[in-house]
Amino acid sequence: MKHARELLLLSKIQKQRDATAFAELYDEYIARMYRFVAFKVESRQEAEDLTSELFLKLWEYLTKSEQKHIDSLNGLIYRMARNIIIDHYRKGASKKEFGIDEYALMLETGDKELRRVEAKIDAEKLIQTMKQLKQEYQEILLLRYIEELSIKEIAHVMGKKRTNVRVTLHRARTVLEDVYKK
Amino acid sequence: MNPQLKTQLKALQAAEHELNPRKEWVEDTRAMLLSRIQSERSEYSAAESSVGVVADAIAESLRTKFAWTMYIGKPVMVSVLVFAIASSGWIASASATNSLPGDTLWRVKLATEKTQVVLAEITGNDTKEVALQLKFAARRAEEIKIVAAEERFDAEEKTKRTEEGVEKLKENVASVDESIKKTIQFGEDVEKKELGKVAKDLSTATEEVADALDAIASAPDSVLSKDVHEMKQTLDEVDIEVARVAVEGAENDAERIEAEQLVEDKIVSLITDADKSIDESVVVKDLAEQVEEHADHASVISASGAVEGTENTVSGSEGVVDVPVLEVSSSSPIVTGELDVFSDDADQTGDTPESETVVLLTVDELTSRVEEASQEVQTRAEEVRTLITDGNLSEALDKARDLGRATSVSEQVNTDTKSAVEQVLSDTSEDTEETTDVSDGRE
Repeated sequence: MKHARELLLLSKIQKQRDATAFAELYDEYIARMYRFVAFKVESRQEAEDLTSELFLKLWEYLTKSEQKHIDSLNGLIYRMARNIIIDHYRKGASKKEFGIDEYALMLETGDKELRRVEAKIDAEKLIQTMKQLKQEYQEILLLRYIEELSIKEIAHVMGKKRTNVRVTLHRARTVLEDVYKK
Repeated sequence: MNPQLKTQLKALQAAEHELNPRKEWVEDTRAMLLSRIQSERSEYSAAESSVGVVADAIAESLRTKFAWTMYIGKPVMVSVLVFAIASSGWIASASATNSLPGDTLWRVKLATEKTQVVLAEITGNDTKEVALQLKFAARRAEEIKIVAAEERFDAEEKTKRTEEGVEKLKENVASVDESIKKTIQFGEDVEKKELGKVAKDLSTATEEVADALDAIASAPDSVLSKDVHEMKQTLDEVDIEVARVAVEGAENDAERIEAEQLVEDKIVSLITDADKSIDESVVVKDLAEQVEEHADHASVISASGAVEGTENTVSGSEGVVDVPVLEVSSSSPIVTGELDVFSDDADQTGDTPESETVVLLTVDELTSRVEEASQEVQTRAEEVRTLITDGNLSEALDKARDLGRATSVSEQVNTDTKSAVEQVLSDTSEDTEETTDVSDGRE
């Protein structure tokens, strides 16, 4: 979405509580915010709950606070997401969802399925590997390779300078490759 | 990074992967959020509805601007016009006959077009006049494209025909501009409402012409870039005026919403163009810097002003400066500071370029000019953004128009600089080929 368009939507929401504008933002951001959250929690249920909470909180923030000037929605929404997750963990550990049994079931249902499942297992392995890295590295890898944000955009979201982003990204990649090999 | 790893990471984005939300959940949540919002909103009265706020603001500014204008009471035969300016297939159907600029029959084609326009003028049908002019502008653009692609013509003939076509195109665009302004300033309310109704179609039509202009300008060896920029700028202004009229003339919420959408779209597209030209400026500056690295091979200028193209630094005559210089046309905004379209004030250099001559500038002078133009764009873009964030659409539109002008100048500066630089770089690469002791393996 063009930045200018985003600014317009924000202004409409803040000044006029425009629901249609909010819906447009929702459509734009829902998938990636879900992925961001899902990555950091353990179960689908949690991811869903937290993400809907996120958008609700976003609406409240935009419409109730004293009309603060917002430079970039990107930075704001990721910040809010992070906070929600932190609060969630503070309240109590989340349940783990393991799903290996699902895989065992699928293995019985044929070769094509088998390949899909293998791919799934690889992906699972990859995700588990990533989760072993520190938060910062996880985030930056997610933003770069899954969300395919540019360096400039990542700098915005994470509140870092561009050179910093490049360096961190490089380090994250190196660590990921090392750990993955083991 | 390990490519296998990269592919795997990428695969995580695939819809079937767990990392993605369930479709039903996305829809359910959307509905849930919207219903919550609506129930909150019902506390607010209709008077605060967004559309009303915007429309009022723009209407106010228009009223103040035109309050002094006396509507000319001409006997207007206003027919209720239903314009099916079908936006799809518009350009294709625009070239009604096959004749091209330079053909004998082309003049006949122009004559028939002119008749249609005059007819519309006589019956006082301004809106139709505008639509016709736009249609014919589209035809010109299409003809020019065809001429450029036509293999039967040699380079010389192409240039001649293209010039003819462009002349007419400029006339068309100028008449569109004039007609619109006429309608807005002197037209009766009914006429302005007509204009507002077809605003969206007009906008699509100007966009198509602008696209065709882009295609023409980006063709290799195109000398038309300045004309194209000016025409695009005029079309932009037409768009903005029409969008304003649309908002003012809207009679119900549905029309207002649509008109408001037009205004927003226009502002957004102006900002996007601005951003593009800012990026392009950076690229152009980098390119210009490359010239300095070829300092040995670039043309040098001696104190007397004569140009010597040599490969090495020059003979020891007094006052010779071997600084790489580039050629720029004297009518380029690099020299004059503005596009012709805008220059009502005298240009800054004090030269009056009656005939196009060539001016020589150093790389530094060029890059600083590029930077200047780009800065101008950035400042104005910021202003527009601030106004948007404040919800001030009407002023944002005004500023956006200024932004459009600044962008146009910057684009032209970029284009001219780029061609000047490429000229030098290609010259030096030819030189390099001829030099025996420099072997870079280039073919």
